[in-house]
Amino acid sequence: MFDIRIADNGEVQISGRLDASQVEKARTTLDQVSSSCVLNMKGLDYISSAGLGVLLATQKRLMESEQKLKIINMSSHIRDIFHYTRFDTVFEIEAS
Amino acid sequence: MILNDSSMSTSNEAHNNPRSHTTNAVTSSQRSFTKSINSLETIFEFIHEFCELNEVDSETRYALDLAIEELFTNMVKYSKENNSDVMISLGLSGKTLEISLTDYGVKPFDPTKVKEVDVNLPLDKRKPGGLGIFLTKKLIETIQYEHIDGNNIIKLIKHLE
Repeated sequence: MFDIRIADNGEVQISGRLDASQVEKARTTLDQVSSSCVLNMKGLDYISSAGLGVLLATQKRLMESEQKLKIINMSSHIRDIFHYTRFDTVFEIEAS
Repeated sequence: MILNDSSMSTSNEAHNNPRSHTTNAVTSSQRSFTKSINSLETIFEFIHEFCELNEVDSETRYALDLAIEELFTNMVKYSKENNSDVMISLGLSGKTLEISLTDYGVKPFDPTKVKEVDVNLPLDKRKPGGLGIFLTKKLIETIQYEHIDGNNIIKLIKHLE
């Protein structure tokens, strides 16, 4: 079950499995982000290229106004995916 | 090329009675899925049942999920001329996993020929396209493509450590 929400402190919390069938839900929420914030991946078990595309589009949009997403609580499997795709150079990722 | 798609709406027969065969040496299972993004959930259930039965580790399971999603969704996006179900089969023989996806009655589309994405481009030059097959190649040792009798058949081979 995929879930994404913006917490009261402005943190974007994302959990479950972000596959191609869930990207519109992710996009709808991430489109509301207009300034730097934390993307908390605690409980995110899976992401495919469709999810990576939404994150990339969000980061590119924010960087145009010198804002950015910072990712925390990334699982080891997703860390591997970010490493292979060099997304670990596109996002600031807090060591866990 | 990449094909993909599975469905939540595969036939009841396919869902309730997946063909499965187990011996001491070989386990295999196959099921058909409606060619729709909405099939992903049932495809993952199918993969996870197989992995649990065969005690496949979580890293390999992630690789199977991702490779099969990427190939299946490509079938959904690019092979729209036929709405036939897509057949997915999973097999384990010793330490070798063999996966195949068959898209029936479609034009040839070879996912292995997709132009490689450049992951080293700066952020402003990067585009999301092409990451699916790139990741599939990273996570799966062998990807073979055939177009036989009007069907696109993709076979993946991964060796367990």
